Amino acid sequence: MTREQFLAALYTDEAFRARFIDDPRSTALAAGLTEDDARELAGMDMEALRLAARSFEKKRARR
Amino acid sequence: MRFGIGWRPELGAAILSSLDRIDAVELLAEEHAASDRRALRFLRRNVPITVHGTSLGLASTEPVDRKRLDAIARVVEWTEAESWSEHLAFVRAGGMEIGHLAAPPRNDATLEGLMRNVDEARRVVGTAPLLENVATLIDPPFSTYDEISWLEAVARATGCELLLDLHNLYANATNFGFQPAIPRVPIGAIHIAGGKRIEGNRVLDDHLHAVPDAVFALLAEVTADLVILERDGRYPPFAELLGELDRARAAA
Repeated sequence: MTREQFLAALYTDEAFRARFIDDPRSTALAAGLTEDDARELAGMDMEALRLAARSFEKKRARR
Repeated sequence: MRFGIGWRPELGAAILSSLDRIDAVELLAEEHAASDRRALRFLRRNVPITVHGTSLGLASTEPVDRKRLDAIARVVEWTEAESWSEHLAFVRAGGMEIGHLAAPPRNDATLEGLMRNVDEARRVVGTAPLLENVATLIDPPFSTYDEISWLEAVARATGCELLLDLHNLYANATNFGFQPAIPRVPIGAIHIAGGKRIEGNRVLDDHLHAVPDAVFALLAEVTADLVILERDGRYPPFAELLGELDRARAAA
């Protein structure tokens, strides 16, 4: 996965997001991202991620 | 400065009957096909139109979708729009549709993709878009620019003017703890809107609430040709929206 594809998966795939929140580093590495990328992703604000994903889901539902 | 409002079907009749107080109307490109053609023809004859896209995803390392670009070009041509705009966002990746505007990694790879996509957009549509800053709840990972320097780099690299959304700027400044500042690059237009506080005292840019004082304060610091009020639902009496436009005129 590219970085953008990884972020898109986080925003749209609930199961993928749950795996990531549970173990960010392993999920990022398994997707083919680098150790540096995995470290950066592990520092994400997970509550903000949940809120953003909920907001995107609502937008998709309205379409 | 001119002051206008975003066209929404629910507001259509009120907008059409208030054109003496509205200098321009912003039409969402993706809603053009579903809008009342008679109303749009009337608008086209009586007020300047600017077209606003939400689905191109120009700020991406992936190429812009040609069909979406062609659709925007048709709307710009049909409406005889004086300008058009799109967001500094990515909306899909690897075939996954996010469904809305996601803040991209603010780095040189995104900037290079954006430059390619803007060149293609300019070629297909015939004019360059104004580029709008987006609100986000997530500080985008893989970023090497802060928000303001990103907007300045975007304008310099693409040659495009910004559509500076002051509520998006205010929301991000609140959510990530920086001082909102006006980018020092050409700003062609401004958006004003309102949002709400959610968990963690974050600001959600939902366009469902009145424009907050902080946005009017920012408006006093910036100059642009056009200011557009955006409202996407929970519509108050139209007089309240006209009152917000009057307040914007007074603040600018």
